[in-house]
Amino acid sequence: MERLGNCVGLKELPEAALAYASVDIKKRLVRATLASLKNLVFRHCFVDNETCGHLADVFRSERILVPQLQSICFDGVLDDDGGATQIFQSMGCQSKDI
Amino acid sequence: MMMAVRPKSFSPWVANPKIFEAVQTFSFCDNLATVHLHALGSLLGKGVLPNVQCFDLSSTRIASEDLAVLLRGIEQSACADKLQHLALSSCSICPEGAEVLGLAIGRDILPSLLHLNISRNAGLGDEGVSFLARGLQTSSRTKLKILQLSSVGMGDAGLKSLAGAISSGALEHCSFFGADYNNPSLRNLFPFATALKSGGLRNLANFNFTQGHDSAVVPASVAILLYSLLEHCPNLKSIDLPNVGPGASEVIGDMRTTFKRRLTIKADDIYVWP
Repeated sequence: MERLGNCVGLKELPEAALAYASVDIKKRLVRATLASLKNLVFRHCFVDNETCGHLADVFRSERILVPQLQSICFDGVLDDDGGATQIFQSMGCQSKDI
Repeated sequence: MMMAVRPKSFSPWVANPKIFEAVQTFSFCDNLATVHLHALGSLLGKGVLPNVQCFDLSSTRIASEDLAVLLRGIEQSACADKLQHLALSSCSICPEGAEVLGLAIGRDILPSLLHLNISRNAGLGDEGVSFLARGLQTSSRTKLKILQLSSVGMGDAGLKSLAGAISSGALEHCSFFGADYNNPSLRNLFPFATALKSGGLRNLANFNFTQGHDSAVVPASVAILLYSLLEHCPNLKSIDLPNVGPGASEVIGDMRTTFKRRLTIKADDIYVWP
């Protein structure tokens, strides 16, 4: 899993890794791969609020200039409203509005 | 106490909208709160997700006001002309919500929509289906091919209004899939058969006639429906007929003999009435 976290160029994150990895590994996985990531799909795993926070941070990263992301799917995986709030804020919603 | 320092490359609360420019599928089937739905509508209105082609918000309770906000956001977004697939299954959409959606379809704010899944909204009922049908009739640009309407509590009046939309030609280039109709009767299948005769479903590829275990379609009405389908839908490839009631197997057998066409008929769990 550590090695996977250091991978670059992945087009799709393996869901099994996302299901069982620690928050730190998830963070590294997403950050390492987002520049080339095409499908960010969370369907059969649990995504806690902390991971959502890291994802939100990555979405805000000014270093990511080349848009490759084609799918964003969170299908019944979030802990509670807090995770969704962080994702939507990272997409551009003002914190006062959400 | 040491404070966490955010890396310089990260700007708090300021997203990089370029990340979302290429996003074509946005699926958030997570029972979002009203505030999130409004936030999503606002984001769309601001030009985030301009190229989305598939929106899936299934399993989220969406009140009619929330749906109006979302559709307003879509209307203001560049994605309005690109959206092909809208999934609103299990969203507790009520007739008022269907009215909002029907009006949007009627005003052609979703001109590229090919697939609408509004299944499992049990509160939709005849009234809701009628609003959708009216929208399809009013629209001059609709390209809808797949309409999923299973388990929406549709009855006689809903079927009649849908038949009206079909016969008016609004669904001329449409595949109709997942029609769920409880308690049909011989009388109420006539408008549907008439709609088929008018050529409104000539591109139909799959017909799914699902009904509850507490209802029965008498063989005669199955015959009317199936003969109409076979006669007027040259592109029909398969028919799903779970729980069609007693005697249907004979009807299907007759049909196979009469219409020598490659056709898959799934009716293997025919319900035998005591």
